[in-house]
Amino acid sequence: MEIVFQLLLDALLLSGFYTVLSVGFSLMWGVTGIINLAYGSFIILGAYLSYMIYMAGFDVLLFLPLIFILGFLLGLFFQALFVNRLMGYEPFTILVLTFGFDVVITNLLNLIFKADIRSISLPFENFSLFIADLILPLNRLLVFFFSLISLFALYTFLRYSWTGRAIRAVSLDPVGAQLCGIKPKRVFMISTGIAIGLALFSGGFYAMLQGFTPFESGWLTIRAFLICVIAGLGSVSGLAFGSFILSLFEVFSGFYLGEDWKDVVSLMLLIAFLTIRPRGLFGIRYHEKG
Amino acid sequence: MEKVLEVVDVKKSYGGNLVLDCVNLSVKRREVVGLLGPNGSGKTTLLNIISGITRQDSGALRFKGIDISGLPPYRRARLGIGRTFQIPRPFWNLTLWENIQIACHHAEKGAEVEELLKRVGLYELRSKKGGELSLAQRKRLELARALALKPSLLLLDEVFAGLNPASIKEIQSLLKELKEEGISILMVEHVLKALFGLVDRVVVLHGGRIVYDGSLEGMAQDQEVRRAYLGERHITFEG
Amino acid sequence: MRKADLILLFLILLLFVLPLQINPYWLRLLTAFIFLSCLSYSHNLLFHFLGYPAFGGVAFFGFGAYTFSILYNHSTPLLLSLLLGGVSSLILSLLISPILMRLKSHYFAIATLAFQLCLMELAQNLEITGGTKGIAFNLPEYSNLIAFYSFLTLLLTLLMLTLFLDRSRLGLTMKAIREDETTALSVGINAVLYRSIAFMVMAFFLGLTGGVFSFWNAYVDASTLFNPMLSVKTFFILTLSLSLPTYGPLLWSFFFEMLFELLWSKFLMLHGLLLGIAIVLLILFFPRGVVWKRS
Repeated sequence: MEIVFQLLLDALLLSGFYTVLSVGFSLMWGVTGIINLAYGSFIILGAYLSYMIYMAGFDVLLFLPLIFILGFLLGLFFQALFVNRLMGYEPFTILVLTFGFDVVITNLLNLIFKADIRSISLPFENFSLFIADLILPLNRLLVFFFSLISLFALYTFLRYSWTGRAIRAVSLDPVGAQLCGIKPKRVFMISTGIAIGLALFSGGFYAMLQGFTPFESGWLTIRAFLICVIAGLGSVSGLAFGSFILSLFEVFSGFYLGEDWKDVVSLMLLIAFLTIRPRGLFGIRYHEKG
Repeated sequence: MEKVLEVVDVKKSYGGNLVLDCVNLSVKRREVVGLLGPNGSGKTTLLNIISGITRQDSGALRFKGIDISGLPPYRRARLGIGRTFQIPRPFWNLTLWENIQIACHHAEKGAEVEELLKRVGLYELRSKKGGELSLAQRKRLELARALALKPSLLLLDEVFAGLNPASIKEIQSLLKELKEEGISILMVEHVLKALFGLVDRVVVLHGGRIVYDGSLEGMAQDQEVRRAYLGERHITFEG
Repeated sequence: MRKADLILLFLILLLFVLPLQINPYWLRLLTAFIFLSCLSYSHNLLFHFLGYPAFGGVAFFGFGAYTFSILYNHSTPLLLSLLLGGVSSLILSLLISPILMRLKSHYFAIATLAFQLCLMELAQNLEITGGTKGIAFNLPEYSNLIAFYSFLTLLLTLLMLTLFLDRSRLGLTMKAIREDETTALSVGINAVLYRSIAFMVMAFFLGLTGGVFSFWNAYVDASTLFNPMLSVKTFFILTLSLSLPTYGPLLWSFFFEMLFELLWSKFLMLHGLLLGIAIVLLILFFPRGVVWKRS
């Protein structure tokens, strides 16, 4: 019975990271209607960037905001140069574009870094907190803590800043938003910027949690997608809940069924949700586009 | 006279919004009924529910005595319910001929398609693609396509909108012919003057409820209707 | 029959005679090209005619391949094994069709991809599929030739089916569904039925292709069969063929295999990267598919 509590705790800690991971994806999907198949590769890109900073001897945590800004700029360019051109066509077209980017980024990273597993070792990595027989690895705790902070910041931004409100307006009603003087194209750029920024940012966390290779992008994208499908689009708290559900499934099936079956279970969960409740549990708006 | 369409206690909500609230409506054979009401009163939703594209929350629908409440849209079309759309939707990349051809389930013969195209005056343009037509032509195409189903009931959504008087007259006479041939029509309209001499009766929908069901002439005098459309201002009709 | 058809037929007949004259290297290349065409045309049955991109269609390819492999390795005759490979994929598609058919096109695309990955994981875990080690066979002599002709027959069948659909009323109905499903429904067309049948036919052909591939490759394992790169290649070709759906896949498969064969041998590392860049550039400049100049 003890083990269940430990697993629950593991799932909780993991869900913090998963929430940050999926928030960017959800933002981009909810506002621009685009399902970004390259999202996972941006995360991996962020992981490698953090790794380089780490190898250069700097403190990764200090540099994370910079990584976010870099991602933001990348996202702006990505939207402006590539996506905006294809907005008028069938959704399939943009899907192909993002897919192509995924292949490019993955292979680029593979060329530069090769396929060896890398990770970042934090100075206190081998230490854990022990509370009442439960183990709390310190690095996971740290990631969880920082995830909460960044989520809170994002939530506040979306809720109270003018830009944040503009973003929400466009996602709910692009035409209405235009009538209020908001330029959707610009909002798209900003949302994509934030989304990619978050992707790179969460990549930093990813590097701290485990080893990674260039080829994990597909699974990361699937996880982000799965969480959005479970949670539905439109609420950060919904994403937190969705992340928790996914991490629950992953942790428990990983333990009871074995690591090999973990992914099968996740995929079946995805198929189940897509067919039974595509709107998600908390979907404020079932996005028909993209 | 038998009832071709019966709408019984239909309710529909979108989110928290009650769009249709206990709507009861019937259409008899050879009857042309106008469905009127201010914008947002649920008229198109009602048409969507009757044709099967939208599912009602509760209530029943009967077509020629058959319960169609749960039937998918393609079955209802095959049973004889044809419809046109507020913004015409031809198959853009198919030719006019092909547009009609795929709606012809009863006969494969080209004669049928030819006849329908000639009837709406589009035969000469039969090789043009759906996307190349003008608005008035698209409306006629939609009518022909609906007629290809050999319908007993036609659901028309603002068929007169955006047309010049000559086109309106053409369609009016076509609809009158169809009525003579035994087809019932339920038409959503805003162009009231086009309905004179055409409709047998009108039904007014406001706030999801039917507030008037009677003659077109009597409608102008009805208090409820006036309040629904324009507060208390006096309305007059030409013609 | 149009003039282009006759030229095509001639070329294909040429292909029937060719293998007897050429060396194994070119035979392998030709077989690869025909294999890729089979994959493309199968997927196109659902994609071009009904607008549904089955990103994970390779799931049926792999499933049929495993079915074939298991049967053939247990002394089932070749032809029967192939056929059963196709039939088993058909049955699989029948089983999951009610779930998948309700989805909109992009959700469908991702769900099929998830399904493909799911099967890959399953295949790696189960014993019957050989786990991560896969299944290998002992093949008779001339197996390469047999594989080549089998692929060719498949391609011919798919090509004829595609041409037929393109010009028939059935194909017209399907195109109407692709254009505007709601309107198609309101003129009495049972869209879900058409889609389901196309889905199953696609699965059947993919299953057959899988069987022949296993025979050709002499070895199957999960990462080869359910490899997402196969899906990438297929949809890359289909995207290029958007405006020329009947001959496009054939031409682009040929071009693709030849080109990348040259590149692969010279720039092994860059293979994936170039493919990705090619995809991005092509979709940017030709969002509606590459247009065939003679129109």
